[in-house]
Amino acid sequence: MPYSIMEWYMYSVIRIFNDKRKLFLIIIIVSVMLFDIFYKIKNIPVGGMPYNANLSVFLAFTGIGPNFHALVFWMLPISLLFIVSDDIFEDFSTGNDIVQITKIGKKKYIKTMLIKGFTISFAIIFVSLMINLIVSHILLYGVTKTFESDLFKFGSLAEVCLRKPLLTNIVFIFVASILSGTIGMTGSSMALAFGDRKKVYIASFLIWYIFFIPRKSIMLSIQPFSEYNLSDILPVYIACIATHILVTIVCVIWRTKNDDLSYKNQIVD
Amino acid sequence: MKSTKKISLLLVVIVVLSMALSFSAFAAEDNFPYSFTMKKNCANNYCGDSRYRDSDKTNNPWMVNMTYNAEGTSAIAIYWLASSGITRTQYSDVVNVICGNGKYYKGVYNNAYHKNTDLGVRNNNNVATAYVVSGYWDEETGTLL
Repeated sequence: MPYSIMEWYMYSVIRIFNDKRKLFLIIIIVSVMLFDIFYKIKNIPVGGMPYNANLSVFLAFTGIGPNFHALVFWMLPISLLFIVSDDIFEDFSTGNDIVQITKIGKKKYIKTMLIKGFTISFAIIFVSLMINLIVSHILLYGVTKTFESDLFKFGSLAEVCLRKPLLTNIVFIFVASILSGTIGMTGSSMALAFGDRKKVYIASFLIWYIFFIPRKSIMLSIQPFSEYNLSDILPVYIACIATHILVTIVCVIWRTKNDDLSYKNQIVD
Repeated sequence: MKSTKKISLLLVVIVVLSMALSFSAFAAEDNFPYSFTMKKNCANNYCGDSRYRDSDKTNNPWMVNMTYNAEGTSAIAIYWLASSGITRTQYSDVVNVICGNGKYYKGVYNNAYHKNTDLGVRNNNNVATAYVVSGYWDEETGTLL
């Protein structure tokens, strides 16, 4: 074999960071999370006092400034699709995927693309949330203000969260990152199966909104220190992850069965 | 002549007393009912019934008591004191209020002296559903923190 999965993976990762538009989007996601913490401390000169570092993180959603949370999470599939699966569409239109499949084999190609989709999406959200957590701890060092309400009355989850706030934040950062990783992976698999930007963007947005719109929204499951218990947030989180994995499996099987997808695409174009 | 003097004195006393009483009533704690929508997608919404805050003390707190939240029997909403008008200025820190958990008191910033104030609300969860909230509030309670 001329190429290992690792080499091919590194090649596709470097390809993402070489694209200035994708790099720009990644920088925007990181800076939106930084703006969020800066906005929370803007009232200090007139006598305001933000919550302590652990309660002021991006995911805890305690401020009343512009909805930076929405900027990142409402359009999460769109931004992740653009970053991690746009090169798959590029490969379709240039025929580069045939070259890659010929070099490393189809299964390895699909595997690499899925791993890349998961890891890059995971890493983008994980790193930006960790930067937000660290900056929050630096800027709000020594602030002890906590919630006015006694969240302990809500039961087990809120109690555990408030007793170990830093651990809670790290766990919820992992929870949000795994969700993002799964969305990125599903986006990649759909890109491999359909090879058409419009279809993939609409489909991934539709799946996301099925879980975003209801009262027990997926947004509740990535928010630490909320009034909701595990019985409220766990079912929707598991359902969301399971649906994404199911779609991924179907798309991978579809792509494996349809050999000449890319060739057909080129004829149509 | 004496009686007219007495009557006028009585009148003056009554006027002064009533003025004093009215001032004390102005600074005392009131329960003004509110009911409005906590907007979806975490947009800020305001009571719209603005009240003049005549205090120049940051430790003269405002009060909110949320008695109903359509989100749940003990759901949380974020409240704060804001300026009235089209462009809103934040006049106090936010308070995480649990529905049905009694009164919450909060001091104000030093930019809130002698201003028209309004009650702001926002859901503490980033969800795409709007909920109605209601309860009682007061722009200045007079009981210093």
